[in-house]
Amino acid sequence: MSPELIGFLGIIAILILFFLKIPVAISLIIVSLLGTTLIRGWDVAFAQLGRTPFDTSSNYSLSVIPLFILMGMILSYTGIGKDLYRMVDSWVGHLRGGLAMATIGTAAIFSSISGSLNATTATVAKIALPEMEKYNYKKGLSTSSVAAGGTLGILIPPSVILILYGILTREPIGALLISGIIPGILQIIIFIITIYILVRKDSSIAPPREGKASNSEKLSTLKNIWPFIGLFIVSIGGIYLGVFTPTEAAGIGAFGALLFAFISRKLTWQRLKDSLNESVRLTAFIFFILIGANLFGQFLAMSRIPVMLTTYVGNLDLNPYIILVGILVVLLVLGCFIESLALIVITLPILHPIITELGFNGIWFGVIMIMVINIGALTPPLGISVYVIKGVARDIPLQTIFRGVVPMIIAMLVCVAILIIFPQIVTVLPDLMN
Amino acid sequence: MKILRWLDEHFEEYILVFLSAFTVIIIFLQVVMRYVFGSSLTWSEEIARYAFIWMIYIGVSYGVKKKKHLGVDALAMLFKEKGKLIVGIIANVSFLLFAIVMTYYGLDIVLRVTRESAALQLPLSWVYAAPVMGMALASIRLLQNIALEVKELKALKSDGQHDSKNSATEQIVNGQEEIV
Repeated sequence: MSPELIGFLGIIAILILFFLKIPVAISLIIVSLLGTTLIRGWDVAFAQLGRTPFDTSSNYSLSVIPLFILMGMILSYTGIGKDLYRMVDSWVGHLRGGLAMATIGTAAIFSSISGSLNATTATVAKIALPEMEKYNYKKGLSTSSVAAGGTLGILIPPSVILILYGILTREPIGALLISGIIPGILQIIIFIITIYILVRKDSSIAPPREGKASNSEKLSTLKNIWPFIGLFIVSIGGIYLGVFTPTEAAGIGAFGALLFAFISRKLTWQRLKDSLNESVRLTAFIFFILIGANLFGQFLAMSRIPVMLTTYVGNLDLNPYIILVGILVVLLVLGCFIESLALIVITLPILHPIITELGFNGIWFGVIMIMVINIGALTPPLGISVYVIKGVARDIPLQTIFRGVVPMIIAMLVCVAILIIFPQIVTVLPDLMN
Repeated sequence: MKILRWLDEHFEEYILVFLSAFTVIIIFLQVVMRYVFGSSLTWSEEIARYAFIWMIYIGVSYGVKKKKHLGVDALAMLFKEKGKLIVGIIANVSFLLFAIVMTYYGLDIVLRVTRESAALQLPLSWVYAAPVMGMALASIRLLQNIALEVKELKALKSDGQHDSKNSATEQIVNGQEEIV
């Protein structure tokens, strides 16, 4: 059997193991081990198995992941969600569809803090859905604003998925973290415009609300979220200005979050323990996948599939943008069935060389790729965000939620299209860093 | 017996709390020393790195204990309760085989390593022992999970099939499938 055929069969085997619900990391490791054995023999395969886990985990620059996760966990365990909602609501809640807009804003900020799609969707759903129900918002609009808002955390720093993209592609992590800011803000604006259009078309879906918060009320809501704003400015600003390395910025963020939790007395010992344990569990789980990803990358390199595909694509007499759109369509479809992290890990070793060969910016592609894959969180059959909302609001039928998110999916696709047409939106801040 | 039960419930938990808090404090100290006092600690990066490695591998075991390793749910959602359990057992057995292989080969590496770390002069075998310890613990946890799933499967067979329609949803909401 040729190495290329072994590589191709390996990719199919990975997908089969994924769908059998064998953990992603284990699937990657098993296939890599067997594939490497077939190409190079047992001795090479086991030498890699012995070396790669240690090499991966001893990469000190990767400690940025647990530190940012810990910062997020601690802040989200302090109950910052309610304060965020109150703050955003006081600023935009009085507008037509304002509560849905406030939900988008809250979810955007909270998801960037927690870094977890599930945690954001569940937390914001518990806070925002009862509030929107109180003001007779239609279920489709209220649930879709929660679901859409939760997807924003992958863009707004500190984004763990963007950090992972950087690790897997060797793109600079600092630049990747910064690159998500403007696209994240753009996506929020497009979601808000979508809500505005929906409400203009049918005013019954979001009845107007009486009363508007005074300026003093608006300012008083800010006092509860200053720690988050402060930590964000110090850590992300520090990376942008080149004052800190990403690891140092994450260390300051995590320590600052711990300090805030103690000073504000918002964290019990049990909750602190839970947040530490959860962040380590998540870190271990990510690193285990990274170990698998590194082994899989080595196996694919041996199979020569990335080189073969890159050469093939390079020789195609096609506009690079047509190939790019083709790649994104495939990712969009796969994203409906496979979780974002798993999908990134198996596709990047193949896609990144192709993208750079086509002359596209690696950082820009990272943002686009992650946005496209993330649409899968709103689409059947996986639709992880939708199932989380269903778990919180059991009385709302799944069809209602899935139907409600359709305009938001269109909004996400519009945002991707804008970023393809104007790549500077993504690259402007990283370029200024340099 | 009480001690064993306590260890079963909290062993990984307390190690992880200590290691994660320790890593954060060390890295913060490192930043303070560099930017405030203008001198860096020679040993801090090394000890943070080693704590970090141990944290990862003990965390793998903790993830197994909490049944929170990422698997793709698309197919599992199609199964009834019995099918889900069978898929779960297959997943755990494959994970167990890997963990045993890792423990075996890892132990071989640990016994052969004789070098010491640069700054702290720690035997590197202590560092290389992290994957061994983590995978050995994960093996124990996986055996526990498999035993529980087999027990559940037997109970299902005797009770007849009952399908919990929302179990996938409930799992997600309860944080069973934490997606980053």
